[in-house]
Amino acid sequence: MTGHRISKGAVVDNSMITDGCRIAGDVKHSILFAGVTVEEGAKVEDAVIMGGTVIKSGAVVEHCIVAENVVIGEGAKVGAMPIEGKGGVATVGSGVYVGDNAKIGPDAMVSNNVKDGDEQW
Amino acid sequence: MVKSNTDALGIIFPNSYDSLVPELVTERLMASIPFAGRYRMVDFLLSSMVNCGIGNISIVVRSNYHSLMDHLGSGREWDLARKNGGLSIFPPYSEKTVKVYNGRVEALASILDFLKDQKEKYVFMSDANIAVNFDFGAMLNAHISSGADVTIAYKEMEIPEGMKQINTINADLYYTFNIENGRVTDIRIRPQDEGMQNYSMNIYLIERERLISLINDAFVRGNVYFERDVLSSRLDELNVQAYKYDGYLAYISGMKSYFDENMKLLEDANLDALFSESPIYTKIRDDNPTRYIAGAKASNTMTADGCIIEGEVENSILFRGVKICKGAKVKNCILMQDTVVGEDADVEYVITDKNVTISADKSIKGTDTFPVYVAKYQTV
Repeated sequence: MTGHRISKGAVVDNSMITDGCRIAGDVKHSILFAGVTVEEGAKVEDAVIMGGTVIKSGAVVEHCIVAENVVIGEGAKVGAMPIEGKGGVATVGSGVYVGDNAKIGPDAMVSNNVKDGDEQW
Repeated sequence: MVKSNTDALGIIFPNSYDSLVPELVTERLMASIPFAGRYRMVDFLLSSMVNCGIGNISIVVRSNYHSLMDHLGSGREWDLARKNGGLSIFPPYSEKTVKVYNGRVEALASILDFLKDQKEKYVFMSDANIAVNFDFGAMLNAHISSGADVTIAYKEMEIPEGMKQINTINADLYYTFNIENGRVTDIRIRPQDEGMQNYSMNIYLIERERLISLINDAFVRGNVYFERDVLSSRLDELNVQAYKYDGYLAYISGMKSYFDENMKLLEDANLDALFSESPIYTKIRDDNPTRYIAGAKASNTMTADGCIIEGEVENSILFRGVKICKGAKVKNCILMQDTVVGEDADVEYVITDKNVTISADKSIKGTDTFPVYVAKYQTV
């Protein structure tokens, strides 16, 4: 794998990024494993994203753990930042497809594909 | 695209065109010049060969080869640590016939006994100043179906400016071809022509036995250069076919082209073109991931592992272990392994070699036509 790429306009703050990642969106206070793609317009905060996962444009991924080879669809919302220090850590299992505009709540543990627009709390 | 066992062995000449980049090769050779954030030039050829099933690769070195030997080791990272075949490095003076060679004919003459002992039918030979994801298998198929005696890979491109300007030792020849129906009818040596040319990539394919007899003949006559002395005069009796390469090629012909070829990889299209065909293997350094500390700003960069970034980096390539301190500004740079850019330093259009330190508050800037090079272990 080549070194990770950070595109123009991407924001990377207080994070750990490794080989093969392609970052075009915002990544804050997160740990990205190898080969993760964060498309333009996507936001990742407070998250652990494992290898090969693709986070598509407009998705918001917060305070969660996402396993390997997951696809987070466009505009999907996964997890939520804790309020006053309280809030669960959402988890998305390996190989899962989270559809466009889907919503995964902060206490959810997703192990099956989530259809476009669906919600899982 | 990993194939098993192609009936060919590979020979790489790692010192080719060393004199074009004198600053980079003071303590290394062309093949071990760091490239693309975590690779060395030779990784591309080695990986391409291995991915095409060529498992017997010889590297005939001439000088400054410690860095290459250290990088290659036993060849394990390229899957070349084998009982049969694998990686062989031929230093000068290793056998009584081997000395510091001039030109490919002498280089090949010095490993003639080795070549006679091998069992593979074909031989691929290449220079090391190219980074390319090359399908050697396809070239072999083309060679066999054309019935050629020798096949040479070429690319339609303009002659690189850096090559045209060289006024150094004779070993730095470059070639263009006249081609008719796929057959090379004329080899032009160091032409100064403008416009698109059939530019030789210096990748040759020939039957091993044929090569041995050609080299024996050439060496006896005191010939030095393979293309100029062996091939050029025999274009009538030898069927020399040209194999067109259409893929991505990074060609190092000087300091400026070294800078440009690295920077071109900041475009996703180019990066994918060079790396997506088959994997490129390299020596692993067990670094932790790169850390972006609060306040870091990165835009249009390619960064390897082990870096710590606290300042601003733009349009740059960072090799492993680079440290950009708070307040530092890095723009249009290539920073090799373990370079440290001190607090509030300002660096633009600079290539730093390994372990360079740019002290705090220092400013060092080159231009787009003249990148500044800082040698290994230097402190600015």
